[in-house]
Amino acid sequence: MSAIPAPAIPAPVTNTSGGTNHYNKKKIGIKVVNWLLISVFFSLLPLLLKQLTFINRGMPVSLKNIGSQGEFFLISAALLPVTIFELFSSSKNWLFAKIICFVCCLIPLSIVWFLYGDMSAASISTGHYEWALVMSESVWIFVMIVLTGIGSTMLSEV
Amino acid sequence: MMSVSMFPFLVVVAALAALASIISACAVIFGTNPTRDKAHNFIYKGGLILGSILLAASIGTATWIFFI
Repeated sequence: MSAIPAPAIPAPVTNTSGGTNHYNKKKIGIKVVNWLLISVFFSLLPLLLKQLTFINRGMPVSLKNIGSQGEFFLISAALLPVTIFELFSSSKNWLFAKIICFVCCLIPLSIVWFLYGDMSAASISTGHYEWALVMSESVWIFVMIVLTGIGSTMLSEV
Repeated sequence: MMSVSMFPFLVVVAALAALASIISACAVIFGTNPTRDKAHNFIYKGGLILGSILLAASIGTATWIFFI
């Protein structure tokens, strides 16, 4: 009685930089959409509730009320560390690209730290700051941080 | 020291970092396949080089702003 030969298992293809190609683009897309819908949208909910409270109390809805006290800075500062954690907890494949993404996350994050410190110190010490500038700047930085987070989230899946 | 008054420069720094992050991620995802043919290799290496250049530009601009 002859032994039944075991089926051949294809070995994972390893690239020159040490990564394998067994990832799924659809899975990566789903993870990015999940991150956008859950992390980003949920982090923006407090601002939405703030607006609803303003409307309930009969106060005018304006851009000044939405994020002129640096709320977008705080949200941005909370968003990126999660993606950095995911980047660290992923596999060691494509390490060079992941290091680039990690530094890319650190740069806008440090900008947010400095800006929030500058803005809050100015508002407390002088009681006056340019709310329109803070508002537009914080929104732009928030958008850039979301884009950086998309890149990191994509890489954390490979 | 960074302050709110340096608004355009800081947005440029953040935009460069965001671009570098997305380009690096896309280079890995779209530039690699098991066959490692020439086109995919070009996308992978080109994407990583472009990402590195953008990152260096971002770090350089941030350092310049920091010491202004």
